Amino acid sequence: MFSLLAAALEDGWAFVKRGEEVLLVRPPYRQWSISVVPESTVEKAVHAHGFTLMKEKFADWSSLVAYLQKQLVETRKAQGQAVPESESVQRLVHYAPRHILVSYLDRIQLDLLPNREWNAALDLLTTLIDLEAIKKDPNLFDRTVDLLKRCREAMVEAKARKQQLIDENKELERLFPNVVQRYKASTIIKYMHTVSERRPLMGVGAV
Amino acid sequence: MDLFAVAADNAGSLERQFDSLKSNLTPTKANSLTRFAERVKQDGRISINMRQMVLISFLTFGKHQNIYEWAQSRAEKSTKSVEEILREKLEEFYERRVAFDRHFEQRERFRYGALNIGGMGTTDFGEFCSVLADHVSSGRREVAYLRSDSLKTYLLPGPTVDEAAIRRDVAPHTHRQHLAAVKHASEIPVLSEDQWLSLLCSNVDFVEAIFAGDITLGDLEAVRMAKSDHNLFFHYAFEEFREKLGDADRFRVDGFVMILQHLEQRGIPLEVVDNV
Repeated sequence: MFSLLAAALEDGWAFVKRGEEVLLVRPPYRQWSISVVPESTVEKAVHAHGFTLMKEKFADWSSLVAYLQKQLVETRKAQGQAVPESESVQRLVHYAPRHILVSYLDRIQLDLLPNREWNAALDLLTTLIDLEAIKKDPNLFDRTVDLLKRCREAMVEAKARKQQLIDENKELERLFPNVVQRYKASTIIKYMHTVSERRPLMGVGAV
Repeated sequence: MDLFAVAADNAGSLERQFDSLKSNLTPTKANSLTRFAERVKQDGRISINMRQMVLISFLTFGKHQNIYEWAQSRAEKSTKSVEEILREKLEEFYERRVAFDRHFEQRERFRYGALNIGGMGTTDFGEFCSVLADHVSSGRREVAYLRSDSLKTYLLPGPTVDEAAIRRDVAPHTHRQHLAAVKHASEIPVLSEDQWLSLLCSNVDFVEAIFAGDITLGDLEAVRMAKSDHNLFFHYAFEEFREKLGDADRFRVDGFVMILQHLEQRGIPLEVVDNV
């Protein structure tokens, strides 16, 4: 059971009591952002830092977090803010320091491209290549261009492969119109491969 | 009680306490204590920790309200008096707060911060540590420093104010380094200089700074934030390219962008601090 003692709802921050402990809970609501505090901290938070005393209770951690996240959104909406569009969130990339840019490029290379998340990679790389910080840094610029090239090649290759599949399907329809109606194209192709890899039942020239 | 006048009168006593402490230490320990005091004198600033929306409001409107100013602004739009609003806001804390504040002249102009030489400050109250420029404290008479959090340290059961303890401890801006050094005399020699930052100011303990009057954007020297928070926002921005974030996280990232825009426009540095 979690008892809310005080909160700053517009920021999703709260002091809660769990048993005898007072916890400070704040986004992102992970282990490292939760701390045990003395009860006197709540008093100071209310008189000097804009927290409001609260009395709500929550049966478990997930309902507490869901409440705080909802209140953050509702309070900011009530203050006249609209939920930010993707572009607003992605604007942050423009303020990324070098080590963050390097980590972005690493993640594109190691996560996005191998996972075939080409649209995400392309969008991010297109944003990155326009940044002054990237343009002015030959290493980062070359790496971004290289990843862009790899991303485009992978996209072209994927498109070609997709086209090849479509063509194969069309060919199957032409050769075996009745079979295609009954079985999936992929099943037929797999079967054809299996048969082609097996040795013939009878040797050549056998009678 | 005029807290600031008492602080000014206490300067000599704090200096004598500091000198006496030093004279009883080994030369190595005395040297550490002197270096600590010099560091506080040179780098000691008042910091106020703010949450995201508090900082955005300060950066947007250039104003920071204390609880009396907040209650006053509410009262102007309400039929309730300032006192009624304060009573409702503070509930069970009202008596203690009022007992403490009523003891001092200019109480309604008081603003609270912490003495800081480079750390993240008191992050229990906000993830952004707003560091006020030296002129905020050196340029005004109405600044005083107390050994620790005032309500915790100087309010006795009753509640009554422990005036004798305040008179013993309170320091003016010019002698804040003596108060800090006397307070931490036993710990300083055994800690590295890197550890002095969190020794002086953390969630566990801090030297409280009380000053009277407004603060404006021109008073802001820097804003500090923890690397973990900083990197998380950039992680969210990356993830937004893959899949849309939840609304709460979108508001938070957007808020951070607003802060960065304001800081950039005003030439105020953002300092990213390694997590302790």
